[in-house]
Amino acid sequence: MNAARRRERARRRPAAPYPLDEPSTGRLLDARLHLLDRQVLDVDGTPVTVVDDVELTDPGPDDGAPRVVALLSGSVLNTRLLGGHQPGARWYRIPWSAVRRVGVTLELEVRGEELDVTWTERWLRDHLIARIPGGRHDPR
Amino acid sequence: MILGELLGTPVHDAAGHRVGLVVDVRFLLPSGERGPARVHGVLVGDRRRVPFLGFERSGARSPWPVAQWLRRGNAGAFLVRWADVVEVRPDRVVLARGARRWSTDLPERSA
Repeated sequence: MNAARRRERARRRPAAPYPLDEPSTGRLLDARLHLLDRQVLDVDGTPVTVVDDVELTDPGPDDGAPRVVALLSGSVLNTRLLGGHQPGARWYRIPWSAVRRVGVTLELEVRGEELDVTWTERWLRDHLIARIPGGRHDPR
Repeated sequence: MILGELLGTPVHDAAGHRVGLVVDVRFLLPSGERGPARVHGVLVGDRRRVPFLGFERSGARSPWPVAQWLRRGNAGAFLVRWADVVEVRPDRVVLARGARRWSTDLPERSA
């Protein structure tokens, strides 16, 4: 049997079931399944953004497995349509230490106003909406 | 390292043969969900197929036609623990010799 056929047979063979005793503690998350494109809510439950990407530490021989540094958000429409990657400087970062819970949504333990990702919303509120008569108070 | 740059990267075994693409990355969140999430492994598959609500990684067997269809799309996919990844480059991920292939199913408590 040649090497190509052996590789193909190995590929078709079902992978071993995951050992349920590993990991001993913790919860497993798949990036595409549980993180990417998920809604991010701040400590008050206000929607902040969605997770467009995730920043990891660089893999190193001494540091072990990479760990999550930050959730990234930005204008990804162009790169999703045309391919390529967003320049690093154009991402807005939400530090992973600010994440309180990962569920259907990602809940933060900080207010959305403290994050860089909401600066356009704050700027529009302060410089445009606030100049409209009645724009400085709750409409109710 | 940006996760999106890792997704879709070709994966090669220790002999240099291409075995698939990185279709997803699995993280381990410490118990209590406090502390840094670390990469637990990479999911390797044939195609850049986006997971369908996690159905194909849950071990669900019904409804039968749906389960069969999604399982077929996920056929050949496997999980490699991060300890079995020896090199990550922009153009390829290299696995260790004898890297063990695990099922992509999520354990019951994580699914």
